[in-house]
Amino acid sequence: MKRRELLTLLPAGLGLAAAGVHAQSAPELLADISRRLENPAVLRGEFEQTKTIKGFKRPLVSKGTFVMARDKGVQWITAQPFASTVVVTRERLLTLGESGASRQIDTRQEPGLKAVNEMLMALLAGDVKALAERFQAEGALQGAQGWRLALKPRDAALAAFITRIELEGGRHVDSVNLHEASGDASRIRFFNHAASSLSPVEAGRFGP
Amino acid sequence: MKFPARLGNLGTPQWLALAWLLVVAAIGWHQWQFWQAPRLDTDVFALLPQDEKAPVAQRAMRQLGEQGERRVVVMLGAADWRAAQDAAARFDATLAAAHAGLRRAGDGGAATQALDFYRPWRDALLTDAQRTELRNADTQALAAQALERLHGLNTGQPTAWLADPLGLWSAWWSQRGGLTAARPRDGLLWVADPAGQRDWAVLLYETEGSAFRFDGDRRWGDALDSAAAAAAAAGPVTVLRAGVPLHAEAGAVQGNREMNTIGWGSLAAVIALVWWAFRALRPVALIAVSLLVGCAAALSVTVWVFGQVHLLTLVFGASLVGVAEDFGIHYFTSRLASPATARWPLMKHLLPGLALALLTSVLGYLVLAVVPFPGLRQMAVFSAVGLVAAFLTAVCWFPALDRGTLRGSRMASAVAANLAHWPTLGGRRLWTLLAVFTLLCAWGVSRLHANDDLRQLQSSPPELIKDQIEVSRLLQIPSPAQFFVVQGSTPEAVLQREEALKDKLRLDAAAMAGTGAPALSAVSDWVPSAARQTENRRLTAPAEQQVLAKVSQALGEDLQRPAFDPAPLALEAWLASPASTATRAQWLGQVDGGYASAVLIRGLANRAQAEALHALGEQVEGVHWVDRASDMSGLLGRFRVTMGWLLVAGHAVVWFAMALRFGRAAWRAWLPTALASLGCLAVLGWLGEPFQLFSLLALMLLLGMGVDYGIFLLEHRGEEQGHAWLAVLLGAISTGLSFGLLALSATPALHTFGLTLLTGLTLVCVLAPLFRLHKSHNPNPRQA
Repeated sequence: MKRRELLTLLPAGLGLAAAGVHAQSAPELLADISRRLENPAVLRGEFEQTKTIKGFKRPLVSKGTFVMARDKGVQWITAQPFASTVVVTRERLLTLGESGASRQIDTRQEPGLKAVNEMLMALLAGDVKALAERFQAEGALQGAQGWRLALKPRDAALAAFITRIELEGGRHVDSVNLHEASGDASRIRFFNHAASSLSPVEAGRFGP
Repeated sequence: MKFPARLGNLGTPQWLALAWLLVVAAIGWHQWQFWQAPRLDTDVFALLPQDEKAPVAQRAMRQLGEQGERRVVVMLGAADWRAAQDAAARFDATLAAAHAGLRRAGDGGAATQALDFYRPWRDALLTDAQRTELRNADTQALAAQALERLHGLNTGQPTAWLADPLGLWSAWWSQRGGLTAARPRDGLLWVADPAGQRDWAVLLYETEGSAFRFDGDRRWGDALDSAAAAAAAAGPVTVLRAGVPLHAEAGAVQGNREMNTIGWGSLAAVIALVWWAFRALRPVALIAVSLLVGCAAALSVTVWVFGQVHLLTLVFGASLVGVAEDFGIHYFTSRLASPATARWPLMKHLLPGLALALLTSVLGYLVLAVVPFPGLRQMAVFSAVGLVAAFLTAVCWFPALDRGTLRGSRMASAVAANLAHWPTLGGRRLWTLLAVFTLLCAWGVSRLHANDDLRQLQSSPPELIKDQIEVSRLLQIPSPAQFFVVQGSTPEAVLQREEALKDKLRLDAAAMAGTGAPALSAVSDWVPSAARQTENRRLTAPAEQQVLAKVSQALGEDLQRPAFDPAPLALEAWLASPASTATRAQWLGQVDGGYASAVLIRGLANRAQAEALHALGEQVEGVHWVDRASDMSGLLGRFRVTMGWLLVAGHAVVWFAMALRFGRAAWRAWLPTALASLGCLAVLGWLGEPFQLFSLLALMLLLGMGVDYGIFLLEHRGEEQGHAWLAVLLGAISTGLSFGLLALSATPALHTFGLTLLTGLTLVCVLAPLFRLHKSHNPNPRQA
């Protein structure tokens, strides 16, 4: 079964374009946050994700590792409770399941997905400048190293899916809270950040 | 024409002049009202015949046309998306500041609204691939995938997880989005050029208000030009523009210019000629009045009969100026010839000849109306009424208003005397000339090629057409003239047949020649038939229930599938909702005792592909292929043949009419026109101009007008003949000039029409004196 959980942007027909223009806001804060963030070529670490989904009594918790290669993309390697790997690049979304089956979607055909991928990459890398293009940002610096940021989509099409994103961090992004329009929410915590080069296997997953 | 001698002796019958004054006053009042808010039509299809045999195709064309009537599409192409985005922002800002009556269309809430509208029927909407997969679904694998997805990285989905645990809906929506190449991106529409490395930003506008102005201003075009210049200020940007309003505006601007060139140009020529011939203000003023009354009456009656007037009618009608002056000129040259005769008796004497000339010209124009083209009927009515009004003005007013003496210029006398030097033909010389002429013509005619392309009626600027084609290619806009019409007794039957058509074309996709099968766009994409919806629900309900049960078991949850709307999504509900905006026009509603819809085709690459689709599609019951452009071209071709025979018949009828009046001398009035018609065809052949319906219509009109010159020369004998020749020459020059100006028109049909008549009239003018009767020879036509 083809699975396409993406921000498909939809009922196309020419008449249904969303309107909106990007503008820079709170530029000083964003510049400050950018300065506090480290920006290594490859960043890896562990994550713990807690999803709250409407209709579920208990939150869904998953754990694993991630690899973020600047200019390439993100690999999201879930270890518990099910093994799966998601590779997000600007050009595609690749899912490698437990069974070994892989599914790939080309963003050239789905610009909505491209937007989501770019957003995910920007979120995990703490690419504040890229985020500010899509979201209205407000936040504050905390202490000597910390910061927090709240994002609201500028684009009506994006707002149909995501209502609010909260980020917290210091030298790296430490947590992301994602609130969806459906009422679902995901909280992701990152820890044990480390900077090192890609392994051949990891490099292979990003593709040529 | 019998007139009480007493009245005639008294001079001008005042009552006739007064009665006509009343009519003219009424026309003047109507004209004043009309120009307050002129009802002008610029649509090419308005000129074309209604196809009574295919009311459904007619309805489809109209409905699909109306959909885009107000829409303007602008595409900005740049090397990357960022540059395209910036260019779009600059373009939009500049255009908004110009307040040119173009409003940005499309709003961000539409996507959300559409999602909300479809939500209750999510479980009834599947893609074909999903239907196949669900038929042989392994629920164990589906459940595993669902669990993976639940724990994986969240990438958002259009509805609650429980309402779509298999994540089916996104694919259905992507397929709906696939109906156009444009995708929303960063608040704009985005298209990637499949050929080059180029990103395009798409901006949509709608024209504001309904006022179509006919002031020759290029309001929208200019505003778009300056916005394009602003967009390109920061770097190389390609700007494409498309949309019906732009073509309409370009047509109006051009029509306005041509109408003025032809109208005022002809008027100036007529005035100059009349001044040159008579050296007096009175003939100039009176002939100008007759032309003005003629044109005003023509316009008023046309509007009264048709409700509105087409722009091309006005352009064509402007050439009337050069035709309707004949009566006035003829009257004044006769005054020169016999200055002693009182005015009214003179007019009485002229009346039979003038009336016969009017009759042949009016008949020539009215034959245009035989062809059931609304556009041609308008032109015929316009011209015929204009001629009659100019004739009546001359007859009713000229004797009353023309006072004093008329000396005429020496030039005029010289021309009148000059006729004597023209040779007349007879015997061997005649046959030699005929033989040479016929040979030359045969050579020219052999080079003629027929062309019945519908585009003869179109005159949009080439760059606008180029842009339109490029925009259609990039956005993959369906062809507006080639599509399927699907009919059925109920809406449900129509939707089911649409689905059968889509299945048929999909099954036979392999049989389709060439690269990548074209895609169909149908109402049933958005509202599947009730049968299809039920079938879909029979697939989704058990699969999703089983997956939910397995996930519940794995996670220790008690997951319940939410309830969907038990009734299927109804067509009426969809039509009434904003979700149908883009596709609504394809539903044709109740037609022909049943229901019908249009299924459009996107990405038709070539003629062979269209023919393959045509053949395959019509194998499905209730499906018909519509190709308006080729239907119309076929129609133009059929009328070309019919008109050809009518022309031959027309010549026979004219000869017969001539024979009634002139007896055995009739051929002298007829032959110049017949030879000139042949000459026209030859000239068209030499110039490589296409031979088409409009050439034949011009020849029909040439028959009506050219015979007049022969009549005038035969009607008058002795001294009068020279002055009749002067009238013929003046009339022919001004008429030729008018049609010569019409030949400058950018509309191919009008160009051909003008060119044919210009050539024909010149030839008649040269040939007619050769066949005149010699002075000594007096056939006394009244015996006939």
